[in-house]
Amino acid sequence: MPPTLVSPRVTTTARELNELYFANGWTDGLPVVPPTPDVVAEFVESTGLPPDHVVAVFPDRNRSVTIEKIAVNSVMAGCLPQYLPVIITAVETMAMPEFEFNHIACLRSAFPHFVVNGPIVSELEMNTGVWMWGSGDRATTTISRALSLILWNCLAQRPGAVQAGAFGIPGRQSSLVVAENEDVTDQHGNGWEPLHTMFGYDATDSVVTCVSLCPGFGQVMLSLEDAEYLATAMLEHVFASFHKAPYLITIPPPMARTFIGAGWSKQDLSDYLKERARYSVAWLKKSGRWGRAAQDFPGNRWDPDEYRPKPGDENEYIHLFSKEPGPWDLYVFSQHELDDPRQEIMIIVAGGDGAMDMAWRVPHNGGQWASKKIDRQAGATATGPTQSPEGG
Amino acid sequence: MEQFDVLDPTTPGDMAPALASRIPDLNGKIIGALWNGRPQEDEVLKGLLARLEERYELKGTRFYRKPQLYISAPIPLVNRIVGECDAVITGVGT
Repeated sequence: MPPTLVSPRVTTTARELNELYFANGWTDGLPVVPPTPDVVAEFVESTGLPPDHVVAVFPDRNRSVTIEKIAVNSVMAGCLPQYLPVIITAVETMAMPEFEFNHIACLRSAFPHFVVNGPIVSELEMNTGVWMWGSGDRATTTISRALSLILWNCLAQRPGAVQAGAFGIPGRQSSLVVAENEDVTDQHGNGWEPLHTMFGYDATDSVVTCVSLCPGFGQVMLSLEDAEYLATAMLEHVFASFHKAPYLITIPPPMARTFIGAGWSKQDLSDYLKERARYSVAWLKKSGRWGRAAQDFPGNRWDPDEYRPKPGDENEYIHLFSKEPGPWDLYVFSQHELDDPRQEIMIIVAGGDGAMDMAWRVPHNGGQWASKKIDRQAGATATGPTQSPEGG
Repeated sequence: MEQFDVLDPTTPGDMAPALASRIPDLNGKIIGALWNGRPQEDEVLKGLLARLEERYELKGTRFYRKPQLYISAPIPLVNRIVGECDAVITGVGT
């Protein structure tokens, strides 16, 4: 017996379908695949869960997200039912306390992004190679779209509702999800620890990791010969936004082989960067990073004199990840950032195998890494799509 | 053209907003204000408290600050406000 769906039904035609969804504000700017009741029921059944099963509760939005709504939006996105375990887990990670969901309403356009690890990456044929941040493969692209639609339709993350970000996320509809290439080895067959093992999961687990990222995307081409040279160069590029925040660095396979061959673990690289990420007070003043937490200034108001470099400022440094409080910290960081020890630099291996560029995203300091193991039962009975406009 | 049914993808606010119980009379009450940290909001909130003090015989006022603009107030801070005030004013937004 098919599950009983409770979502309101609207009668339409193939010609009028997308006009209906645009008119009702039910789509994030792109056309949709029709979520007919029979296809949505098939998606729900594939999870083995009832349609009213609450996947996650979001008190900041007065909303809970059910299996049925995940299924409706996933059909609209063009997903296969086999993708639902990833989508369900991704929604769960957004509701984890460490992600601090409400921060994505902020002016800086922070938005959840997801890294997928483990055997499910190859099972779903997720792209980890050429163009991986740009998607194009069905799995990462339509899972991204499903999450964009869920955030739009179920969690009020849209302009005109609570989305206040000044610029927005390029690739919101297609590039929220990336998968790591866990198979890169050096000439001796040595590999690098996958991201999810750094959060304590087994390598054989499939895991979704949620991280909040801003619109900025940085990329630089580097010579690949020496690991410490590469790490030193990263210090010059990755941290210029100078937030105490979760940093996600994407390293292509050839660069990963340099580190592996030199005996650096990912944790070694992360620790190296955390110990050395710093800028001078003079640089912070000149670059506009000084006084970011202006409300913490004495008197709580802009004071132009505080922003002018003074003699000696070039020799005073603020360490981004220092655990020791410094005299200038409140001129750069908020008290919340200083009180929160969870900021971590995480590294994934992905991208084309000829690449000499590394990439990083501008982070946001509102939320922290949130990881969850994928329940392999959800979606396990899925057999494939039977979508058609007349399917209902 | 053939017609077919499709489903509404939206989630209405299915958890009823939990409004605090209203206070019928502000006289004799302690009123708090929670500042989210955005510059100038403190001016607005302090102005509001001053207006209320002009209009009512308040027992007192309290002023609090959230540690970060865009995340929810920590539970210990919320509990402190609950313990110290009869009502609290805050702004929403980012």
